[in-house]
Amino acid sequence: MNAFEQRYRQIGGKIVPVVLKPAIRVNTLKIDEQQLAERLAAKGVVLKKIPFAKHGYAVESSKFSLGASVEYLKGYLTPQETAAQLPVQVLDPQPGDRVLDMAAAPGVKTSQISQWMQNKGTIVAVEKNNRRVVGMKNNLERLDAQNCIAFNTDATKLKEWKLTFNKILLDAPCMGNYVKDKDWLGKHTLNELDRNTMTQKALLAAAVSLCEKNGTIVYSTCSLEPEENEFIIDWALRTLPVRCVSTGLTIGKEGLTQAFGKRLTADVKNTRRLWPHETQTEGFFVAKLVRQ
Amino acid sequence: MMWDFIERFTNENLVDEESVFQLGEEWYSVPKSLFKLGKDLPRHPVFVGTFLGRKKNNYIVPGVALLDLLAASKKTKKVFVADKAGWLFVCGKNVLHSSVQNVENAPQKGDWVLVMQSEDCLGFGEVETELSDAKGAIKNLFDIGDFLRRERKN
Repeated sequence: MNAFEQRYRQIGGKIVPVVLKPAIRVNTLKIDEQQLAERLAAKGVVLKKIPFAKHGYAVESSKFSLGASVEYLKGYLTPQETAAQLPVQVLDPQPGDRVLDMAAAPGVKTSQISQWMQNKGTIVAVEKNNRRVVGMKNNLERLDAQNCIAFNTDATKLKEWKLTFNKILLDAPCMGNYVKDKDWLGKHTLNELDRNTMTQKALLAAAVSLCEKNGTIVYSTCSLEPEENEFIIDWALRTLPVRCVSTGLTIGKEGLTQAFGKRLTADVKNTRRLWPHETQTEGFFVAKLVRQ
Repeated sequence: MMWDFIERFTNENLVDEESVFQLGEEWYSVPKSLFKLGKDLPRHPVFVGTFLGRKKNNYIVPGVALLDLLAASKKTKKVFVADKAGWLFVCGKNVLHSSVQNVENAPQKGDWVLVMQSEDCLGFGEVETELSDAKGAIKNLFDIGDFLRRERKN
């Protein structure tokens, strides 16, 4: 049995091949949901509303790739995996907010924030990896994110800029999970965790320092490893001025409060863990923190 | 350059000059709050507000928002094509005159025209011979399929 599978069994999970249904987000900055659904229906595309994702639809059937359609090119829709639509929903950005997106490429969640804000207010989007900036700019342009200013820099250095935000999204760099990549289990080892968790802690500490009192920080990953998820939130609750509150999500399970012999702070249960075999999504983790 | 580009289509004031922010060889239309933030911060942004276009060699590659502004104008010259010809156009092909279903503002030889599929602007091209020439074509100068080509290159 693979080392990952052994670990998942210890924490109530397992590895089951999951065939993801393609999912899209309708970009209501550019088109009404009903209008797009009718337009695609005329081309033979069958969409089904995802009940727990605002603006999210599963593509039940289509004779062509929606990622290569006029509707995609015009920014009426964007392919976005169901689980990946949830962090912004938990953040719940509103018109007039000041939002920081700390690991913004490829810009799909940034544009989702613009959509929720109806392009009113300010988003500072930051991406450290220079090679991912072009893709981010393309998406921000295509999806009509007009209230965003984006930088190619390290989000942990933003403290020097003397900015504060009332909402922060940290969709942290992580190990990923086995669902989208059939070779994932062979490519990754547990040795990666140490480096990843150092980065995740540094980014989360920076997020807390940039967040206003009573402001919201959403931490998410597409990892199933407790070290990148519940352990990070447990560490934050013990060392940073934050509390962990309910995400409001109905999909997924409560976060783990113990794993691999380690007992975690009770409020970590307010986080949400999505096991692919249960949710038919990619693996995902979301936590909502409030700055004290 | 940006203004020359717009004038090829219309003499209307489609973009508020004071809102325009030049970032290297790219132009953006920026709301005041972001404009100030962009000026005050110690690092140059890589993207801000609404992307209008970028310079490529001696041409302007327009942003989608600028194309949509031009398309919303009643004064710009347009040709309307059906779905199939529209898709061929976004794949980089020219528009055959025989595929043009309708026109607005009487495009003539030498004009730059917006290529429309219903209400969607797909790009623009140059009318190389009079539209009455059934064998002629509108030369593709830019189409929004550029997004897919950029992604592949990236």
